[in-house]
Amino acid sequence: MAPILETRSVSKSYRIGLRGEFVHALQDVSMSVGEGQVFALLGLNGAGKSTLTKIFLDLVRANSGEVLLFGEPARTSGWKRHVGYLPELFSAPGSMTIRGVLHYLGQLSGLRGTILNQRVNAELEELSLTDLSERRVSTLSKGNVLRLGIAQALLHQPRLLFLDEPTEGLDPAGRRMIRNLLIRLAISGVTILLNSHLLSEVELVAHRLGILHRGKLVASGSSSDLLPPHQRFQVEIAVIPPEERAWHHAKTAGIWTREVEGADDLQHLLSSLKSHAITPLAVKPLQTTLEDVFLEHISDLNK
Amino acid sequence: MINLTVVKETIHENLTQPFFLFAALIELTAVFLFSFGIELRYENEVLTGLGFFGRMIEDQVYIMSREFLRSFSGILVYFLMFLFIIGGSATHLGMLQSPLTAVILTKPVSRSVLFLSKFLGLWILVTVLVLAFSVILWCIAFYKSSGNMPTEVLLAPLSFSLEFGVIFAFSAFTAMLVENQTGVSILSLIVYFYVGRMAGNFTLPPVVHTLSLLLPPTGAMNFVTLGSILSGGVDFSVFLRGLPYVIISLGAGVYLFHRKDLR
Repeated sequence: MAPILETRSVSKSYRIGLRGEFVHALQDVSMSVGEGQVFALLGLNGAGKSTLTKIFLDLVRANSGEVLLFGEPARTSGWKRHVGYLPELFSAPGSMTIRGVLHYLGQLSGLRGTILNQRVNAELEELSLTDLSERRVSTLSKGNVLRLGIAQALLHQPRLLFLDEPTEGLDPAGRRMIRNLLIRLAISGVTILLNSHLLSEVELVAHRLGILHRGKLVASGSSSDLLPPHQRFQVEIAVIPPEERAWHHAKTAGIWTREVEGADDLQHLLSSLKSHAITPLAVKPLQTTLEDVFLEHISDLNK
Repeated sequence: MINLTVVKETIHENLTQPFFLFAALIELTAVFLFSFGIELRYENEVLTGLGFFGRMIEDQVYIMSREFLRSFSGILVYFLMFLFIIGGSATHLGMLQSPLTAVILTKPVSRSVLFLSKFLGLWILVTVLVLAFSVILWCIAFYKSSGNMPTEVLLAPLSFSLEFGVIFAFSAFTAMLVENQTGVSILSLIVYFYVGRMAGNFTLPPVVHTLSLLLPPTGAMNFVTLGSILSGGVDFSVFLRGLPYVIISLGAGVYLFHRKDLR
């Protein structure tokens, strides 16, 4: 299946100020997203996630490389009727009402008359904004402005969605609502590129993940591809261990801990302890989260 | 080349901006002063007295009548120009910095169409505000002068409207060039209030006058129009020279906008 979204060796750099530092926002990024997939871009602030999204949408121009949407170069505009976009820190003129913003952007998307009204009402309902529809944007909370941003992105029923931090600033109930919405959209075949800091949220909705760090795509794949293949364990002992450097010493409790990965390594460690007549206090299985994987990639590169 | 939805929304958006609200407030105040403060006394279709809140001036009435025409056609609107230039700079710069612009450009709207539609929306808004304001003042003056207010005087606010086109095109271009609102406002104000008017000054030495033809003819149209009214006949040359500046500024602005990264 041809990817809906693809970059080939995309790089972007810019200078901060006239004589400022030269920043490499993206370096040789290649990735692809298939139809109906939810692809999550993870990364610290300034990693290049938003820049990459804007390059896809031709809002920022890459210095080199190729960007394709629906198999066509991003510079052509054929994709514009099929794409929805929520920018980071979405905002609209404060004097406009929620309904006014949706009507305006709906018209620009080519919707007219009854269909436009139906779609506006449907999205107001879906994002729980119906009761606020006549409120001015300037009077809305941050969370409701974000909901408005998501509503406008979905208004014309796009096949491809770019969501830059769609849950930032939402309360737990709002986050759950957006998460469920994303799952429903993915089931209905909408392709989604998601930028997020909230790894626990991403883990629940994304089919594939990409970790961007300092402009480089340092890892990508499904959650199971990125998570370690073996179970990790933590072993605790109460005496000075034979290979002291490999252990962490919890001074206050007088306990030493060590983590190992996989049953074989665990068995090997236990045998070694037994040969030194040390009985472990506890052997605890550890769960590796996406956050662990993410931080591991980041810290490896920071070394 | 123009998207009417964007034009309409630009008008609506700017109408609620503080700069334009303030300008509207000034216009209303001026209408109030004209309605209740100004008195015109004509004898045999000649202005013989000009009153301001009960204080009648009867000396040098000919000069006063010229000053009155000048005030009517120029000074009030001239003051508003300051507000409109600053407000317009914010609109043009918003194209590069607003998240909503980024969203609009992912819709079937090209950068050229967005740029030109924003410009047109702004121009229409300011032109309508100024023309409506001037026509209201003219009607009041016409009534108070018992029908002695010449219709030609309305050409002056019309010439202002054309100047708005020139200066907004210039500030749209400079917004793409310097990407800083203070910078755009200052440059536009300098061009309008100082540099631009050189283009209409035919008393300059020939070399300077020739060089001044390279400048946008802003700040000059009104004086040319006023001169035309007072001396009879209308000189359209400055208006015709404004048109190439509008086309060149907008063309250069669109070109730069196409090359810009949105924040």
